[in-house]
Amino acid sequence: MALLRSIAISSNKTITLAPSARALTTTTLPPLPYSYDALEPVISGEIMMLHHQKHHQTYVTNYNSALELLHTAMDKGDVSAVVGLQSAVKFNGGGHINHSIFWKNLRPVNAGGGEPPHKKLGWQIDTDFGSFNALISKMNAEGAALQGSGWVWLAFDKELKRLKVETTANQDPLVTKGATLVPLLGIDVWEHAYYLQYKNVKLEYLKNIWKVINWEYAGEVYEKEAQ
Amino acid sequence: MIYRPPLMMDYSVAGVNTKLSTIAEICYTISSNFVVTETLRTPSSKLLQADTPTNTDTVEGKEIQKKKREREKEMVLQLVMAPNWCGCGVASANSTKISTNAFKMSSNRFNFSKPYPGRAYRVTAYYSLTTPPYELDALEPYMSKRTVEIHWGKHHNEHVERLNKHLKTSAFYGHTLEEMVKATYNNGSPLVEFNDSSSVWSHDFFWESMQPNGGSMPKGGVLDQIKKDFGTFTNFKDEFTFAALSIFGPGWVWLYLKKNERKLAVAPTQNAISPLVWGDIPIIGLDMWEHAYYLDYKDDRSAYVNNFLDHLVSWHSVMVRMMRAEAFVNLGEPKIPVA
Repeated sequence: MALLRSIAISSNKTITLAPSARALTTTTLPPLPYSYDALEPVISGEIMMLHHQKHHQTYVTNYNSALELLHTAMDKGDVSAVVGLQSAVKFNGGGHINHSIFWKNLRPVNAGGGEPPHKKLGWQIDTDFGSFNALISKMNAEGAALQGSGWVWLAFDKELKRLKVETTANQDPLVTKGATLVPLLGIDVWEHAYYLQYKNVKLEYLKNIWKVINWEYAGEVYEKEAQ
Repeated sequence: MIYRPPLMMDYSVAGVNTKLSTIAEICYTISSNFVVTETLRTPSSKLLQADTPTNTDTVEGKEIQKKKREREKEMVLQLVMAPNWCGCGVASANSTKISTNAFKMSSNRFNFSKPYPGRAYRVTAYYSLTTPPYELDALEPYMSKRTVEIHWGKHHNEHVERLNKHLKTSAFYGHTLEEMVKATYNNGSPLVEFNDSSSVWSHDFFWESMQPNGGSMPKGGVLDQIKKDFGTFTNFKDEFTFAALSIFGPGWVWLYLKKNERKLAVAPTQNAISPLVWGDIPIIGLDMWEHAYYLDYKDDRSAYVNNFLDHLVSWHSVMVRMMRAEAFVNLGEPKIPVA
């Protein structure tokens, strides 16, 4: 009886950890695997520099500060502050995730950028979309139709074992569209990604970006996930 | 520099001659809510169609040729109206197509009640791109001519054309722009026409929220109201700037009049949403989509907002809008000086 009572009492205690026991893991801006002007003339050096050094850096900085505030709020047990910070975490964290994938999705032409996928990913594309060109048209159409800002993704559904084209709004990462989706390729259709060069002609940007897409990376991710 | 006073908010004027439009005809306003004419593009495309040679050896060919000749004679203006102006006209088999010139010359041009007696008419109306009340380079150096040309000529124009495309088959055809924005917002589950109608409205509002040599301080009643609702003018500017920079993704920032609380407030919105959707009265609108500032300021949004507040915002427009808003919201007794 006394044992049961002591168990019942102990289950009501709040779990406390010393703040230093949970380390704050901040993120840093990943370096580009190529120089800023390496993707010319598809994407200008000016856009790459601004995109990487200003926009992505801002997402990293703001994510880190949001994370710090989140930890403070969690330590204090301030539930409304924790919930209030979620949109900042999703936006900036999502921005960091998406852009980190984006830099790996691009590759200079002289290093193999734009070469269509072969082997397993190539076959899977043919199975799920009919042809490589059909996939390109579909992604371009979805990107052009997107109102506002967002991303177009070539996603692999781990559960259904098939490829999908998805779009996400603002900086929402792909998982917000499905927990089993793995991003193979993401194309940034925020205006900052193309405006200086293409102005309002988003479709031209989408048509041209395929010349610098790194299908090798997409293939590697696919083969790893499709075990 | 051309400067004209800002348009009323509740307008639905179509067919205005603009520099970028190829619409070749004039518009006639019958009442404040309806606009005349379905104006088609200049007839050059029609004539080009008519120019493809037909084989007139067959009977069919002769028929086609006859129809082409008739069409060539017709000009594009087809004016149709209900005889007693109930707004719900009936298309009559007797309605006549006349040439634009003939219509212009005729004395029936402004007699809208019964220009062609005994005939029934039908009105159709669409939106067009309204011109900013200043030259495209008038906002330099704070907003370059290139930005205005592309923002107005391409983005805004695209919204107008898409809206008109929707309206050809939409149930919301005939609504004024404000009504359409409120109705298509559908309390948070926007219908397909919302984006374009709200963008058209917001962009019209935006161009009129600015003027060359704008900025600096408002005067008189506007300044008093701002001080009353924000404390100081600087507080208002800070709040406006903070709201503008807090938007995640594309959006707008508004100074608007809250109808229920009868005070001014600042709010940011996402994508194309404006205070119209929640029933309040917008007073200033600033486009925070990247296309509005990227060419001039790249990623430096605070410079863009500061320049807007210091050099571009039209306090004249604000005054006119507040005056109109006072017809809907009682902002209190005016300060009448005692003799």
